[in-house]
Amino acid sequence: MMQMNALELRNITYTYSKKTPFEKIALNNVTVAFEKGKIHGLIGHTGSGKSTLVQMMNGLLAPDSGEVLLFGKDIWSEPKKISAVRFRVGLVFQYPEYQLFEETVRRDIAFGPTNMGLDRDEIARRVESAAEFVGLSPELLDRSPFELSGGQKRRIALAGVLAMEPEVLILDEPAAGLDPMGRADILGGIRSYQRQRGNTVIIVSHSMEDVAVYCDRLTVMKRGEVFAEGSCAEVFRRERELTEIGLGVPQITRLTHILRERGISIRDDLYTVEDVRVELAKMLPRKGGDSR
Amino acid sequence: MIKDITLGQFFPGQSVIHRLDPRMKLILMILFIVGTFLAKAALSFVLCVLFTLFLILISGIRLSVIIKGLKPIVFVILLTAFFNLFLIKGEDAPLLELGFIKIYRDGIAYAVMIAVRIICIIAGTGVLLTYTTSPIALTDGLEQLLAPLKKLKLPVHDFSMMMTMALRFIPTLIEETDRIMNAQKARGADFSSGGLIKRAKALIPVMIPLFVSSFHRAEELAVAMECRCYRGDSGRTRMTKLKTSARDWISLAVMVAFCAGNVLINIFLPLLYVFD
Repeated sequence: MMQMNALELRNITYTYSKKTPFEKIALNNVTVAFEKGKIHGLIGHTGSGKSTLVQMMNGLLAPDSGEVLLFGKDIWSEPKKISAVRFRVGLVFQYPEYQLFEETVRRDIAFGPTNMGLDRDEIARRVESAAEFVGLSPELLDRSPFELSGGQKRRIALAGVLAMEPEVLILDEPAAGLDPMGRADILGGIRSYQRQRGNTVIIVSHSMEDVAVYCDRLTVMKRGEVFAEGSCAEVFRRERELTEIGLGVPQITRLTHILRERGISIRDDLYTVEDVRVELAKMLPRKGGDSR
Repeated sequence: MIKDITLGQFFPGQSVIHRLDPRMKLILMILFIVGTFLAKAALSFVLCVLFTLFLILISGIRLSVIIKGLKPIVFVILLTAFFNLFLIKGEDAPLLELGFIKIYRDGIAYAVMIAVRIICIIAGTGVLLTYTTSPIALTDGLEQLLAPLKKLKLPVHDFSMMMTMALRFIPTLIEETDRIMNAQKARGADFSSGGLIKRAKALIPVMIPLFVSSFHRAEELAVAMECRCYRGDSGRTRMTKLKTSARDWISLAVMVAFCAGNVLINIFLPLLYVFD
């Protein structure tokens, strides 16, 4: 069966502050496709163009040239219906907790669905299911978002986008500024959401550790161009180049690469300490029983 | 994007005007305005135009920038010129009569004079101050120039600190507004359609987060300043002391000469036309 692309960007070029001394090419002829039903990682340094690219995907920015295809259809074919595209491609910005404004959590989450023009029952259903997904307990729904903690605020903002039930969900640094537990919580939650719904998710990050664990496929951006694309294993095989552009690979993957260089044959597609531990344990000579 | 707009319109440079003491520049600007208003004879207006061109030339600011800066006031210039042209009644016979519209020689002269005066003042003060002085240098200069008012218990330092901070945070706020607007647009907010009330309402989801984060930021800034022992004006020293040099005094002399020139022309060379 042929895999369908949920989102496809073809030859996208974009320049900021055109025709001024501050002109800056943000995207240079970028072509990239995001397969349906997968979690994609989009990595790159600050200024690599990943945030600009993300704003192309839901039509917040229009490319200077090139096409953005959502399930095969150019999103700019009818510029007046661009807001319909934004409901289908949900975008959660970096530090989304700063976008909350309503009096109650419930009303804030309902902002997107209300703009979609859904009826009241449907809005209520979506708000509750989105809140449940991000782990907000029902009694929080009638509190003011401003009296909740930072982590809770971020969940509210995330629920606000999930409630639109987008076919493609894009998250710009969803775990930025969270402690390790909060990171695992939010990224794990996004993964179980994706596995349950089977929709397409794109996670923007500069943490190789995070994307390696949670993403099926990776796209690496460098100075407004696509630098590498493929499965995590394929991308991380280019460790030297990744290190040169200042991104590197997860530390534990680097360890396996070093071991391989020294002639120890260990798989090169391991990204978590646990997986490597299991693999290494297998290689240790067994001295009667447990290899721990 | 909205953050593209240039604020304060300062163009960094190394010209003579750029290097003047900001206090002197403020004085020069006042003198320049006074001088331009002293112009009465047709020839003194020529002097004003020439002097403005001279300022533009030595400032190194491109003429296209100056013209762009004049664009917002084109309407004002046209309007005042229009009223002067049609409403001023001269003593001699009208040059043109079309029904109730009468155009006099004085009307034309006033229209031209006011237009020239406004253009010279906007371009000249722009070159002397806004285009060539960084906002921080400007508030610094203003504070020191107004320092004598401290004797009257006016909180000059506090005002200038507030102004400095306000200027500093304008770009930050613009960026923040942009970000929040995009976030709300991603949730289907529509800022560009509907009537006035609908549009004003659509801004609520932008204004509230903006206020909330501004208050947070103000609080953080206050704490950060206190951590660095900021306690207001008393006993505060400066890292960069403003110093007047020969350049400043020469420029002052040139400016005084300009004012005097206009007065002298009014008295001794009242050719073509003189206004009263």
